[in-house]
Amino acid sequence: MSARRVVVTGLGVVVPHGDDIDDVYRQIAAGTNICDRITKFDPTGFACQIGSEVKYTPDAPTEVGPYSVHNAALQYTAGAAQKALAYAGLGPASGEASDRRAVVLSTGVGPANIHFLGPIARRLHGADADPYKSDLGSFYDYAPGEPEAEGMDDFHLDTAAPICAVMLGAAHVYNTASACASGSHTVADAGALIRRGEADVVLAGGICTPVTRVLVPGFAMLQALSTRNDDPSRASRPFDAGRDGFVMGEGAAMLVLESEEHAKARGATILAELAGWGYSCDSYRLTDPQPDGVGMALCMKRAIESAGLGPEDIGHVNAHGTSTPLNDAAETLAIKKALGAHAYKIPVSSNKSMFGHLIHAAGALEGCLSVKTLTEGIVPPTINYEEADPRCDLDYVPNVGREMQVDAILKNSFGFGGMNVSVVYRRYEG
Amino acid sequence: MTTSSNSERILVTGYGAATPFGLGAEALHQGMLAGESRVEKLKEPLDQLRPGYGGVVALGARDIRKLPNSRDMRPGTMTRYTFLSTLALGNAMAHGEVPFEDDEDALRRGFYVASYTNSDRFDKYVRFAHHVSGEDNSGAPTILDSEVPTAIRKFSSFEFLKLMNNMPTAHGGIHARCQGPCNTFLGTPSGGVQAIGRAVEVIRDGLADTMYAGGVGASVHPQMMMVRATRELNSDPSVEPTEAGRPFDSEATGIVPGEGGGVLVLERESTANGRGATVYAELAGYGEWFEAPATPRGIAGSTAGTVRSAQKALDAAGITAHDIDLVVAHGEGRTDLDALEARGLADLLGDRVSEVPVLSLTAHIGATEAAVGPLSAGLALEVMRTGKLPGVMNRGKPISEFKGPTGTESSDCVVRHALVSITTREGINAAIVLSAVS
Repeated sequence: MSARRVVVTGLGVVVPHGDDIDDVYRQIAAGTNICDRITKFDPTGFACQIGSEVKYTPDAPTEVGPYSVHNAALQYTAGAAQKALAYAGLGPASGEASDRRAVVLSTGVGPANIHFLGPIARRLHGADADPYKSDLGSFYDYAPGEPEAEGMDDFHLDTAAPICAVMLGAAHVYNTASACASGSHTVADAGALIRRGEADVVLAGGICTPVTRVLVPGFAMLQALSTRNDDPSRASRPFDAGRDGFVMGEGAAMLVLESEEHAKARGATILAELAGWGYSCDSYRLTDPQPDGVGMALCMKRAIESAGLGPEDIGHVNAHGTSTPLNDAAETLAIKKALGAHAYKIPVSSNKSMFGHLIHAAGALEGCLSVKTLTEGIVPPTINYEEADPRCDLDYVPNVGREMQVDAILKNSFGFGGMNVSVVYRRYEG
Repeated sequence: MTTSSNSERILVTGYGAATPFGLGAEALHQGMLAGESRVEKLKEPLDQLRPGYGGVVALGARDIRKLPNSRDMRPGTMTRYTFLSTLALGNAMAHGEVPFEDDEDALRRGFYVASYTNSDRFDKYVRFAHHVSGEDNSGAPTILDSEVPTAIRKFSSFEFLKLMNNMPTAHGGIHARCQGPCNTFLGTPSGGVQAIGRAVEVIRDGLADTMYAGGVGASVHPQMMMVRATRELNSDPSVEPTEAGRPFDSEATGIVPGEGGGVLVLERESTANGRGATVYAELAGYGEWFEAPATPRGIAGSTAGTVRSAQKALDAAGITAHDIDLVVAHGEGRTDLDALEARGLADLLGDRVSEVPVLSLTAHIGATEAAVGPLSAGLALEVMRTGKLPGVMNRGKPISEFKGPTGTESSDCVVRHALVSITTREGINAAIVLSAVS
């Protein structure tokens, strides 16, 4: 394997806390919650009424090359990419796409915004028709010619990664998904492209817009979401004994990764080193992590080894920390398996306590915050930590951020289906 | 980007397929040798959605039960994508005789698959949308949020888990006991080739010894058919279904929905030799190139994507276009993209363009999204193994840009190097080279 070092030179976000990563980090370090009652629709009567929403219009281009940036997900994508490239000091791409540049982006939305088909069905079948007895064949024959059917394009974010590729001037595009592990997975895959010499610059990250009328009640049916509807600001409470599920969040986050020599050659400010990464799959169950945390521990060990470090070199764990009963207990067990006694000596915190779970974007956002932790010297807290769970017995930085210099951060991301990814961000020393 | 060249060979030690011809790449190959098309009229209510026909995989839950290590498989928790992916993976496991124990080897096995996400209960989403649709006081359409909690109860809770776009990988990781790198590639028909190419690098990086890699497509589905119908990409409903898929043909009228799954077993040479595996070929090279469409919803303006992705695969394999004995291309079945792909292949092959056979699955099973690359690889491996080359089908009046052979009869051949090259409407192009191993 090549010894090329991978460095982080740019960070960009469009997330509930804002679209300026420096300001977002200040809020996170100060323990500022953003989870609240959902406003995008009226959630009265929903099992879960809590979300973490982007409540502003992001600064994003309306067109990128041949692509229209026509919906919120694409605006978040283009906005975050624009911010990340500007942060890295990379100007707008021009000319032919470069063989040395790549995009690795994770997208997730699914058939989440289905409502546009409703008016078509009403028009065809009549306002009084029983939706559950209407003729689907006639709907399928009629609907494609109706203007609302254009909304079908929004089901899949096929153009999100190509939009980023045009913005970066990249000749290589990967659109990947590993559920909640996706954001860190893209960072790890991007690091691998650079380390083995295939690329010099990679834009990596994720985008997700799951705060919808379908997915919020749908995931509530899976009993994955918090139903602390009367107290939304305290709903996301990773590692706390009273946790009852996660809060669905939306947004996009991206990192610019470069080979060290490329960054130095262009005089870029190097924010941190992406020192290593590890992958594993539980091969266990679709919904539950391995309760003994073996798979999670394996990817943490692989990441630390990939970074050329030992467990004692890790100064902080930026946990996956979803606020679900199963994940947080299994992750705690896994951290102890991976780090041994050292696990009790270092701060372990969950950023999700403040903004919920951004699913495909989560690992990338928390990666951006990990980089800022290295450069700014404040380990963010786990807020809403009030009552200890005997299964969760580490130092979770309860409620107040902690000023301390950290040299290496282990960032965990674990997804439905047993997808595990850990990455190690390290203070850059040239 | 090309595959690294600094370590041991990556071998293909098995390949699996689920297509309208049944389970296995051999069935696909035999069907193509016989000049058959499995594109047929669809059942209600899909027959009402243009084009009303498609290539359907007629396999069911019982076929899952016949696969290796299928005890924990739950077909009822799978979307069509996951189901087809699982069939192809299980078929590859059986074909490659790969072990699936929870042992040390499992830690070094992984699964990369290209997919999409779609609900099999699109009907329920349509009815949900209808249920929550209303009008405000001015008569304008509005959404009745108060109806959502009632309407959502028509779904089962598992519906929303099934929807997650990594579910083919998740099921596969459990099925094949993969505890190494697992990932899902999305969004383009070249995704299956990308999954194969990146899986090779995972092995080269030392993160795995064995990788299952492939892709799945399930576009005989109202959601995908409606997207294409809205964009007027689907083929003409009045055409005879078996004659509808017309790659590189001037009488092509559009995309024929198809479905299938294809998975290769890729192994480090020392691992394959260590277990005495049958070796079918070397995965000798991989390349890719993105060229953005020239216009909104259009296709790329030049052949650079096709040529560069293929050239990179050839470079990585250490061969030139003169060494290629067979091309299996996309041949999507719309003349705009087919013309671009044909021109790209002509640019690549140069003076050999008239003699190198160019096969496409489209005439036989329709457009299979991300499965097309892995299934094309399976076909190429069968041609290499048997020396039997299918003739082309539904290409009686080739487009002027297509310069290759158009013989319809099957023939004997010797293929040392096969190129699988997938040019896509999205502009994300990818190619692999499969080379015979002596």
